[in-house]
Formats: sequence, C-alpha cells, structure tokens
Amino acid sequence: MAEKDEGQLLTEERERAYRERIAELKGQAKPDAPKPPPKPKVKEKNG
Amino acid sequence: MPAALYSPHLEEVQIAQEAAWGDAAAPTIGMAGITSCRMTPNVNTSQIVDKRASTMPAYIASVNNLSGEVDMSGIVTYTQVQYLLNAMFALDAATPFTYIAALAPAAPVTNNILYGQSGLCYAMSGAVMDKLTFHGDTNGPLTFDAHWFGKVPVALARVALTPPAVIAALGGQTKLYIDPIATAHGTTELTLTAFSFDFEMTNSRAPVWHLGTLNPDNYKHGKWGGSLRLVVEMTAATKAYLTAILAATVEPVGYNIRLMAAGGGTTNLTMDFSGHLLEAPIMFTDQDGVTTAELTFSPAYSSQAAMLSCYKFSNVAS
Repeated sequence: MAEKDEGQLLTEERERAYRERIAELKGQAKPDAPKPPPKPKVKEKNG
Repeated sequence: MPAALYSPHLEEVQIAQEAAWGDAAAPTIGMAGITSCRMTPNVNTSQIVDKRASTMPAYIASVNNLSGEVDMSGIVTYTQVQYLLNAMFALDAATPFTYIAALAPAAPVTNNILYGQSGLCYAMSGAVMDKLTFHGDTNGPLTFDAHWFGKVPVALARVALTPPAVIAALGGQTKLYIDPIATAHGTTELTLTAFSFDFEMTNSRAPVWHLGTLNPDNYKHGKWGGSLRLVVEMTAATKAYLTAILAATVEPVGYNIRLMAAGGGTTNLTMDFSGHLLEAPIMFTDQDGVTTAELTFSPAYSSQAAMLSCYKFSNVAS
C-alpha cells in the first residue's frame, strides 16, 4: 500500500476532529439512559 | 399538429450524494418541496481577434474553461433537510443529524444534481454548496435558497425515483431563543416576539482549475460568513436587548440565538447561531400596526462549551 501523503494525513486528521466533535454533540442530544427498574423487595419469611 | 414535447409542469429535481468529488454518481434521492431550480452552464469562450488583413469579425475561437451553477429554492422538510446540511457541512448519516461549521475545513458532501424531465435532463456533478439560507415567517413552511457550483452540466437520463412523503417544517412550529454568547443556546425563550427570520450561511468555497482541465478539477474552502436577520416585536425584553446593544462601548454585544422548529412526533430542527450585532438595529419599524425592530447579526465564534462554532444544526427526521 502506498504511503499517505501529507495532504491525505491532514484531511484525515481534520475529518477525525470533526467526527469526534459531532459524536460528542450527538451524545449530549440523547436523553439520559433510562434507569433500571428497582429490584423487587423480597420479604423474608420468618420461621 | 403534435402537442409541445416538453412542459415545465413535468420538471423534477434528483440528487446523488457523491462518494468522491465529481464522481457523477447516479441520483438516488428524489427531492420533494422544490419550488424553483435554475441550472446555469458557465461556458467561457472567446474569439481571437487576430491581425490577418481582413474585416471579418474573427477566424479563430477557443473554449477557455467550463463550470456550472445551480440555484435551488424550496420548502424545508424534516425529512430531507439533512441533504442540504450534508452539502453545507459534512455527511451525517444517522438521526439526530448533527452539524457544525468546522474550524478546520471538513469535507462536505458533494452532489450530482439532475434537473429536468423525461428525455430532457441535465446533471451538474461535483456540485459544492457555497450558500444556504433558511427563511421563516408566520405564513407557512420554512423555506430555503441554496447555491452550488460544479462542473458544466451534461445530459443525463432521469432515474425512476419517487420523492418520499415529507413533513414540512412550519413557521408556526418555530421558537426563538436569545441568550448572551457565554450562555448555552436555548436557555431563554422569547415568546410572542419573532415575526420572521433570514438565516444566511456562506462558506467562501470556490472552484479551482489547474492546467490540463477545462472543468474545475478541485475546489477550495474559505471562511464562514453570513448573517441572521430577525424581525421581532418591540417588547420589554426586546427593548432590554436594544438598550444593551446601544450601550456597548468596547465591543458589540454577542448573542447565542436558537431557532427551533418542533414538528409532529419527534421531528425537530434546531438552528443555532452565534454572532455580534454589528449593524445598527433598525428601530421603530412596524409590521401590520405592531412596532418591531430589525436586528441583523454577523456570525462569530462562540466558546460556549456546547457550541464551539458559529453555526450548529440538529435535525431529528422522525
């Protein structure tokens, strides 16, 4: 495989920076994950 | 006598999202809600007026370079606005479609834009968007105007595509929020205030020609630009903004402005703008007997943590 030239590397770096920022923003846009339902309380049987 | 062969009523617009600039991929998207499209070939030719002992106008002519332009207008839909935003910013393939104006240029989606009707279609490949404007008022859907440059249009057969059912974004669904530039967008809603807006974005991209090509063989990026013009009712809150703007003595006041159209279901288009009020506000205008002010903001970088740009968009398609 041919080595990437400086231009390609720079383009990829800029794309990566953009993608990371968008992923961050998408993360902020998503609502908080729903909390797991509370565990049912088990009554201890006496005796 | 046979009927006229072609009719403007049969025209349509289809686009492809090119994988590589100028690959002329076949259109895959039938655009809905397009109300106007103008495709302009730029064929730069000249005649050489040489000295040859003759009064004839010219003997030699040359094609110097080629390019094209497309101007398109239509309504904004939650269903397809991401195709415009992909072209203005960079590809996002999954909802919530999210975009920012990047500090270092990110590659936009380039398009192959086909316009015409069966038997009479032309397509402009390598289409790079350099201007996108959204308009909103109280009288119907939000609308857009977009401009692309690209290679000279060539004849291309239409593809059998049906535009999808779309959901229009309406002025009646759009809210306005204005906050200081250091406060997050969408913090302070101004109800009963906005009448209309014009949100214009430019990016100073331009075609590039090298030796060995007639069509542009590349394009270049430039600085982001544009403006946001708001027509707002003169309320106590508007008056407070105006007073602050006029009282600025060191630098103009900066604002984070959000326009958000929330449609049915989960559809939601959020347009965030950061900028300064550079032009003096136009005071004491009126709209149908209501005193208004016209504020025109120029985009600027906002260092607010959720922004870090001058433009940010989010579209939840469904």
